[in-house]
Amino acid sequence: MLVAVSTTEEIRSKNHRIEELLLSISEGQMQAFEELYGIIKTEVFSYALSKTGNKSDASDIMQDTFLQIYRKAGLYNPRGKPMAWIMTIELNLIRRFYQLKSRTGVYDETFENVASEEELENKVINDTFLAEMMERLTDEEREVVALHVVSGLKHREIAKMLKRPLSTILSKYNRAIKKLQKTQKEIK
Amino acid sequence: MRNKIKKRIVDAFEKETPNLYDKIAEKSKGVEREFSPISERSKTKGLVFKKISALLCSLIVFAIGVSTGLMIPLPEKEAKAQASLYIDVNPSIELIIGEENEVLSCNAVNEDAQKVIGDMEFKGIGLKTAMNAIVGSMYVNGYLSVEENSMLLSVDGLEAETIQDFLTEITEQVNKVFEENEMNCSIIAQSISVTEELKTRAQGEGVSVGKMYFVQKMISSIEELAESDTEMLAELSIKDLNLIYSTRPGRDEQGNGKKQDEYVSGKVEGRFGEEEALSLVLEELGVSLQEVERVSVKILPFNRGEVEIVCVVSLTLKEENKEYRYEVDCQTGEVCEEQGGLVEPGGGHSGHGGR
Repeated sequence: MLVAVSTTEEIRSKNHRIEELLLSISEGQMQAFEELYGIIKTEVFSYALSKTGNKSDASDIMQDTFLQIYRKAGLYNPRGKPMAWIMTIELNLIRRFYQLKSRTGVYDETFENVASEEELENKVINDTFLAEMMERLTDEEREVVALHVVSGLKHREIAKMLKRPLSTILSKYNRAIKKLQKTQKEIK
Repeated sequence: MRNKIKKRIVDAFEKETPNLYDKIAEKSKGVEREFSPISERSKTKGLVFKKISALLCSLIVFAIGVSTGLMIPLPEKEAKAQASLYIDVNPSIELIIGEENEVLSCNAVNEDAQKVIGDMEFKGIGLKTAMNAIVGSMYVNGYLSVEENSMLLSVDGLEAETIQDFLTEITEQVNKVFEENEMNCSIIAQSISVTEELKTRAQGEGVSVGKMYFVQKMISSIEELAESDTEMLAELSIKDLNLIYSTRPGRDEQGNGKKQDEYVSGKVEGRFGEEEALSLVLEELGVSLQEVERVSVKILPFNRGEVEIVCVVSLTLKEENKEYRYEVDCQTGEVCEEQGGLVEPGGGHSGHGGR
């Protein structure tokens, strides 16, 4: 997985592998698609979860993102930054999700409306720390943390992707990390 | 500390991630895949592919030239070595250069270099063509990117009076290769003197003599570094070494030292350097540069379980008799108050310890 705690060399070689897999996927190789899924599923899911705060919606977005990757792999131009390309695809799907939600109310399910326990389980975040993270961080702070820490994007890439100044991204990130360190101490 | 919290975040997300592959694979059966028409694709590939294709072309021309004998090596009796040129990115390559700037031989110093050189034969090839092929192969093998490259060029065997001219010329030639392919690269070219001792130390650390010379030069010019840091420095990338070297004392505006034995070109990209670190700290403190009485910025490696390259910013505000010390992670731009936090002026800096 591409995490910020990985070394630069690990990230470089992972990105190289992802680019190879995208090329194979563009040739229709399902094995490559499965391998890619295994490598980046947490990155894709965490970003969706950080934006929606809801596992069920995040799962839908995750599925759509992988289907888009499958559809568009032939359009990818190798530039050494496949994760930025993938996360931009996902960002567009998240935006579409919110547009649909506000227009049609299709996704406007609430916890009260959930019928079965299984569905409830699909929506609830079980990890206490993660649940607290969702609660205590602002939307933008969660987004920056997911993109940087889990997806391994550089702050510069995040600034470019979200069209925000680098300094804004950095200050949001630094603030978020401080909050999370405090959270970690409190729930220990 | 930060890595711990990052790991906790990653673990938490990992735990919650569902396995939906079977569902996705099933749905993908009905998905029509998209492809760019060739003309469209080459247009969208734009700059990057123009750049890469130029490099690849040079590699292809190079390979054809060598295999068909179109690039005719000079007769051996005329070939007299002028200097040895060591090229370090991470792959370390040694080129023996003749008097006409032609390559007399090419040696891979480490395993990565073997991958870069592959089957290419350099004997008798002009230096620029050889550099084009090497840069191209380094790109194809993933050692160079479009935006963020650093290279160390070390030249051994030059006459004292020709050192500066040769370093300038070689740097400009290499720069040209990068510019023609629309790639960025920060380059440090240095004149070195290869001794048996240097060779032994380089072999001991598994690096080229050029990198070892540079490491020793850093230790002697940056007071916070000591001989005991050799191993740590030898393991760092050329980019990180360049970054640390960029804040050494005595450099001029171009980043060159007082001596005429080095030539610096370009800024290290992809890392937070001196200026960016200072502006991040000012933002963190909520003050402008005009409110600062005194400031010092140094980029240093710290070993706190793993090696981090950190920009240490110390500043005193005009209104307060206090010195603030911050650390900015050069990789991520994260700003932290130095361990120990706020210190009084004259207080010792202990952050660089622990190695």
